[in-house]
Amino acid sequence: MLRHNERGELLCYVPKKDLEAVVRTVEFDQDDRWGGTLSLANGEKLYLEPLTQRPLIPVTFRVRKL
Amino acid sequence: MLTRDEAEKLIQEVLAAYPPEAAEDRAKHLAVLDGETLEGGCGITANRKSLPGVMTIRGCAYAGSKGVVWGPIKDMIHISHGPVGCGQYSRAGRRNYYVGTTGINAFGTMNFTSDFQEKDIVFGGDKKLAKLLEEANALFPLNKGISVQSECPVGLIGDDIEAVAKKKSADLNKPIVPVRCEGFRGVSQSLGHHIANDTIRDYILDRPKADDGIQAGPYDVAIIGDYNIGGDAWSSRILLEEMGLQVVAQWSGDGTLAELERTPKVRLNLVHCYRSMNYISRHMETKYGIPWLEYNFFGPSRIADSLRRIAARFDDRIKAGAEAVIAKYQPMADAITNRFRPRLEGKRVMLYVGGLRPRHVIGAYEDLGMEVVGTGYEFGHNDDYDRTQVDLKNTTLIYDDASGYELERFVERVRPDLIGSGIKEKYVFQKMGIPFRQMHSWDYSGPYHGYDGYAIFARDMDMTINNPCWKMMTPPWRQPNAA
Repeated sequence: MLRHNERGELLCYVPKKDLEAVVRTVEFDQDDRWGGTLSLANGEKLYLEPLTQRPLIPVTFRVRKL
Repeated sequence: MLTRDEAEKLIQEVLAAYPPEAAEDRAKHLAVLDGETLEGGCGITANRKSLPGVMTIRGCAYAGSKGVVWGPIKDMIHISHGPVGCGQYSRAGRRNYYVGTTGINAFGTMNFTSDFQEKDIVFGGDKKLAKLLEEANALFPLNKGISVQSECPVGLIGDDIEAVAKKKSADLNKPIVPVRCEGFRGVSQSLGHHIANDTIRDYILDRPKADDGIQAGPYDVAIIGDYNIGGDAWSSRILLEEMGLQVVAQWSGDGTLAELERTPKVRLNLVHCYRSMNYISRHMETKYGIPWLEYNFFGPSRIADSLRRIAARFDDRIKAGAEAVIAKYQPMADAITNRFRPRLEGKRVMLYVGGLRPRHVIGAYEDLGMEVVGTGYEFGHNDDYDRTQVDLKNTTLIYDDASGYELERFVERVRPDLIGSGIKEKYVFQKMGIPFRQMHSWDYSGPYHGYDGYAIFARDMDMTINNPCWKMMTPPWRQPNAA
């Protein structure tokens, strides 16, 4: 699940792992293409199939672990 | 004062008593923090199955659902579906206060159970449940709904409580919520919270209902995760209302079904117990777009900080209201601090509580000049440990799901001036000569939330630590002048 934290950073929450980490970078960060590899603050990387538009946050996705 | 080396040596000492495999596992649950912030939760592994054979202090999923989340909703009947013990031995033990007439329009302290017998295990308990639902509804017609809290055997024999609930819900025209919180699910009560949150989502928030026509006010908020232990939610609520907000729902201390149903229309969810109600907050954020904010109403510095952070989400009227509330109560809080701080300054505290207080009460102790030298969660997850780090300043022992043995050894060596934990730990440590407060149920005192709660908190801590009885612990034969 992606949401913004109080400082406005993108925050990722993985319910299964109770992992809550700031998303440092998003591979594709354009209005017509959003997603790809998400790098988390704890060093992990998640892959989200790129979307055709910027998602409305908060939102829940199914992602793959890289 | 504990140094890092001492603390690490202490952990090694404690681990040495275990067989190698167990020691390896337990090592992941013990850590020392030095005030630094690590990514990913103190380097602690949390929310794992307890080691077989060690004496854990955790509860079960039923405790998390019936005892914590569902139980305090006062105008619903909560049936402990299964053998009589689970409900009876936990009845009203959590002191979730409520207003209402018990047995007429409120049912908080009552115990409803299907009292499973051998024949129910053999032939299934669904018929009994259907009869019980009808009977309970006939005897207590002012109930607003019924929840069915499963105990272990219901899951083991595979009863279909969902089908019964669905049928009876249509018959009685009331929400009947089947909760699959059998005690064996998960590793602790934490999964029970999650299951309960999910059933609220599925059976209460998603229930088709006529539009009540209620328009959300601009200042509507809900208190989420305050169970009104000893009146906690009430002493929090008055502060929020004084600053101009309208509290339309309390989840779930002194809460009602109508309040739950009303919550998707609020502007902001205020989350006190993150561990037990973050699930529903996240759901409401995704589905209804309601933001949520964690706050902390223990001790004046955290209260002021929380009030300002809450007010920052609203307009200037609320911001001015927050400042007015802080200005009004600060002199009272200062008077309490001035009175008790000299008596408590420098005292060292060890905490071992559930899923929220190991970090939330630290601020209140610091306001009184005390320091926390050890803290740990029974059933916290990694995100809880992440949140704990910011509250810790000095070298602190961290223990996750500590066993009876570990706690005793830690306490023996650290010799804190006060321990805050639960009833199961209380008498062990009192016999070791260490002042003790129950931090689950406030030792039958409370409230501890809010400014009013701080006064009681400070008095209780002083009363416990400076109690003259602790100086009388030497047995007669050890006294130097014994005849």
